[in-house]
Amino acid sequence: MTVLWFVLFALILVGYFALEGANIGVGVLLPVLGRGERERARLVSTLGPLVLVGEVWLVAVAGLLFGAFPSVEGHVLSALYPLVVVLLLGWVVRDAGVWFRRRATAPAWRLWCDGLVVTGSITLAFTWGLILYALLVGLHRQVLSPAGILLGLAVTALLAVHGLVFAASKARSRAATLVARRLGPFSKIGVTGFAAVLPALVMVSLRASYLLDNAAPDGTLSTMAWIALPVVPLIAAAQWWAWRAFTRPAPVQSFF
Amino acid sequence: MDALDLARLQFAMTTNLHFLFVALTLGLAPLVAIMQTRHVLTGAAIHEHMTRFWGQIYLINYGVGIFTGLVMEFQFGLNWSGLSHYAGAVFGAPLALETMVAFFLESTLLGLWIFGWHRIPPKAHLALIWLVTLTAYLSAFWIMVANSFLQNPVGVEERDGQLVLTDFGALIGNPHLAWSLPHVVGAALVTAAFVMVAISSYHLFRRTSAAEFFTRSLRTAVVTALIGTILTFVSGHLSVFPAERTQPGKFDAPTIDGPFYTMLGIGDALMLFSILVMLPLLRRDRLARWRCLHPLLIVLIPLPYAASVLGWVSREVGRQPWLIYGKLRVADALTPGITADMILASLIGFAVVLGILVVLDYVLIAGAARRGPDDVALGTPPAADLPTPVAPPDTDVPARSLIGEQG
Repeated sequence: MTVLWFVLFALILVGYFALEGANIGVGVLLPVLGRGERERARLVSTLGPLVLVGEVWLVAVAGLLFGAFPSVEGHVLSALYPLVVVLLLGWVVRDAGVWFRRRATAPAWRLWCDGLVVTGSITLAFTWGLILYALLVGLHRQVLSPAGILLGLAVTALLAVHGLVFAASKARSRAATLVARRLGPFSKIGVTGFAAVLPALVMVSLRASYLLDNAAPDGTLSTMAWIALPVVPLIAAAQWWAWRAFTRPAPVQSFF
Repeated sequence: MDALDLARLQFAMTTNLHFLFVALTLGLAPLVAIMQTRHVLTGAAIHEHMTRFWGQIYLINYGVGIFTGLVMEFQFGLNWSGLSHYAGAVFGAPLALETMVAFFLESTLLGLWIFGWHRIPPKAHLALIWLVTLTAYLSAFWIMVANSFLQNPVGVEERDGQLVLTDFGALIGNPHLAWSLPHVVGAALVTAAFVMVAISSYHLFRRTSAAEFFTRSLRTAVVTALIGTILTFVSGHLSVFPAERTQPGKFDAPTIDGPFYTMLGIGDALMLFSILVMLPLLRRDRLARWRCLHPLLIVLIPLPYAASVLGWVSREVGRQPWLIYGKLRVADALTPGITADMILASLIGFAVVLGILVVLDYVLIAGAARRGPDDVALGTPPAADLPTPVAPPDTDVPARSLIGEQG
């Protein structure tokens, strides 16, 4: 039962970086890909519903951690206190930019919202690098170390490339397509997706025994499994439908 | 203030802000679903229009519900790791189930609903908003299971200094849950009803062009207010008995009786106002036509919100100093080694960012409400949409059909 919940945890974490990673990458590159208001409007409105179906993977990661690995949740989040706070602030700021952009028409308003999307996305990507580094080397180090900053930059770059290829192949961004052509084998969404999940994948593999040793008792795990597992196919179907549908060209905009 | 006070302040702030948005979300979701159902059944344009306008208000509000909810979820591990350590195997289960079986679906389906206007078949699109509503209520259920456990920890045993779940059925059958869940649902309906009453009254008072639209909306809102206030009243009174039995003297404590009786006063007043004033005046649409009443209907808007906050204060402050009643003190749940400076810094960060977004969101809701049904971005029909003809880079590939258009 512990192994089942560990696998589910790893899958959802990897899913987060593969899917939401692309959204974050598009956000990081918004100033480059969205030259001109019209193209930015199109990109952010494409991003809107994708963010709803992407970020929820991290909500599930945190929820699953609380239910299945409660001691880990308490220990890890509090040990990474400042980083988690910054991650949350970046996350909220990015979401606010996406959510509020189309609520007013003034050019300054939209520029501000784009600024929130970019700032929030960069904060998310960079902080993820710092967090993954802290989890890789152990939690008792300084939050800002040269190697951690390096991984922060690396994760930002990986997500940006993933976002670029995603924008080229799915969001039909002309600017992204031009750049992606020069990337050779790295212009495949499968390749950039794998690169985007790699740091998290390595971290979760290295920390597998820590998670497995600190799982909730079997009574809790099996109760949760009976309730959650039947719903998993539904979630998978809804997610599959959403990602398939959203990445078709949009004839109309709605809300975002 | 020491670390404990700051952590409590931070929790009180995010929880209360979160609930303000959750209340309107939970209350409006079924109403929007009913409006869309009427559109699908009758084909009448007014119902589609109502779905889009009230759906847009619902969505603008929904955003800050997410923002505050994210902070809520992570806050447990940040400030209250003592809770995760001592009772995570019990308290964490309903929260984990909330995110996995409820919110995961809700967020995905909501994305599809927003995106799906004029793109997926009307009946499938209608099913989406009903499923969004259902999963939102499922979320409320699991959250209240978790909260009721804190009020009255049943179905557990303490082993080696940690709580172990022994009877999941007892967690679900907690007497503190049975009436508090309908109470929350009732309060949410009351909130949505009075928001609709106020916005409709504003337009009717100003004699804007959408008279029929808001006369109908007002009718829906009054019926909802009636259902909501009565449900809140009945379930609220019934939920006092288990609280009195397991937490004796709760409502007589000096810190509680002020908020508690003020909440009762607001609830009773809104119920009597719904039954004795708003309902009778629905006959021949007097409520919509009597403009002298409309300023009053507009200024009532903060009352359901105030009652919600006071209700939560009564329920939560009432179990102090316990986090889990009789088992874990709030002071013992604080993350070990956490300093007041750390909490203060994050408190300031969250207060500033969430504070700005909350104010901004209410300004945006007010703006969308004032502009009325003629200016709604949600579900803009293709013909009326702003021109966004950005040619796809590979125009030689014919645009593939969207899901559902060809079955």
